[in-house]
Amino acid sequence: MGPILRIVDLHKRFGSLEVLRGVSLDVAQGEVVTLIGASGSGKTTLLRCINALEEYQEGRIYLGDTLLGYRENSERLARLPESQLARQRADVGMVFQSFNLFPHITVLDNVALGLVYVRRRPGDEARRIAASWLERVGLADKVGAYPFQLSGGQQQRVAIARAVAMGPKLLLFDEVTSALDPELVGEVLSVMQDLARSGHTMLVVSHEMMFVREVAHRVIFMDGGVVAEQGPPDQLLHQPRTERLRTFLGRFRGVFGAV
Amino acid sequence: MAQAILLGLVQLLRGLRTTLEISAVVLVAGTVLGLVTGLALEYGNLVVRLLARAYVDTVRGIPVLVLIFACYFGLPVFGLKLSSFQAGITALSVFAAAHIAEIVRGGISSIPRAQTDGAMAIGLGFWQRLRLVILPLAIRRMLPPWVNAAVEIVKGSALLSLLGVVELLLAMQNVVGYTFIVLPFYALTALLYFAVNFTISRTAALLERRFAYLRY
Repeated sequence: MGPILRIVDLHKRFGSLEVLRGVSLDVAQGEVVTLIGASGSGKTTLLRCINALEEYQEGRIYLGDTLLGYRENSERLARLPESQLARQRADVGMVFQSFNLFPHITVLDNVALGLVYVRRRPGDEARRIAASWLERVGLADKVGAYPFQLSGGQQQRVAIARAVAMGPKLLLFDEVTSALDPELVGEVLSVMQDLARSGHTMLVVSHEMMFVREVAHRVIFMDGGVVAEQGPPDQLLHQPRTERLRTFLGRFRGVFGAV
Repeated sequence: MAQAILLGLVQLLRGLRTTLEISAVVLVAGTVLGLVTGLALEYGNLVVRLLARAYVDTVRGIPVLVLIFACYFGLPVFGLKLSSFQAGITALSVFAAAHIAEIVRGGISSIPRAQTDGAMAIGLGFWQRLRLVILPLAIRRMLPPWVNAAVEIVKGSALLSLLGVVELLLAMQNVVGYTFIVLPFYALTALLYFAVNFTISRTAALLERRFAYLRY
């Protein structure tokens, strides 16, 4: 079977600043891939391009056989209309660093909203699905709460439930524990670990080295807008081939001892 | 004399009703048109944005009274003959819409980009995002300045007296004209204006408190 996500020579510019300079990578069905790299190396931009939140200038992103975000007209790319972009985004779940929950509706409605308005499920069925995902992330008792009543870790678990409830083919995680107090990181990581074990395809930007080492099947090191190195966690973390990855990992060693 | 006072009071209340009618029509029309123009300012392409911007800035730079006269005396030149009531309502609505458009644009642009991202990521389309996420949040922020606009419109309706529309102010002048009771009717009229506007602002304050639970 071919990869579920295929990115070919992706270029993304903000004005004259080229953030992605030819990224190519594949993610297989059920695979958990983590992206690491210094801030500014293009990780977040890459995720945002995959979810069609950003336009890109060159290259292709395929989800299965579908070209994401664009229509191909004799070698030229034309941006899809908003309605089709929306349909494609529904198949790619994204969890943000800052949670981005909707503050004016309950936790249950946050998760059910997309099921009702995008997946066109009847309201009671949508709420049943939403409730079961909230239970899965350990928040069965918070369904009626509003986001501001929850801790950061709880909010992020709601955001994960919201993304995964849509039944996406691919889940993107953008530094989802970076905005959390240290004692709340574990509860979010264990939810992600649970999703990884149950076969979800995940592309995870994370600097939680425990997660990278124990959950990821493969690690990709991004540097200067390209994939600089990739491989299984053990190999990449312990025998880095490039100097830049060695330097990058060195910073973590200083903090955590042995990685 | 007592009969004249009673008649005066009835006339005053009729005037009040006209003032309320003008205000209600203008508020509804101004809000609908202002919402459309505000969305054009925020989301339109370059041409649409420039047109909306030109409309808003032009109208906001002109005294309401000039707009009112322009609608009443100017539009017939283009073959559009409006009654004084219609011309006045048109002018006030055009004026209100320009102000409300800015309120709408400001309210929407104050909502963090993260909300749009979150709504996009679950696959909501543009109008769904607007209806389900952005506007419900933005409306809470638009409410206080919208109330200001509403109160200005109620007060601005008094200018229609200059076209001969017998609203509260002109009704009072008529009553004073034949009863020769000046101060009490002036005071009563002021009180009526105040009562209308106070009701509007109190209602809005209640709504604001109702939404106060909302935090980011």
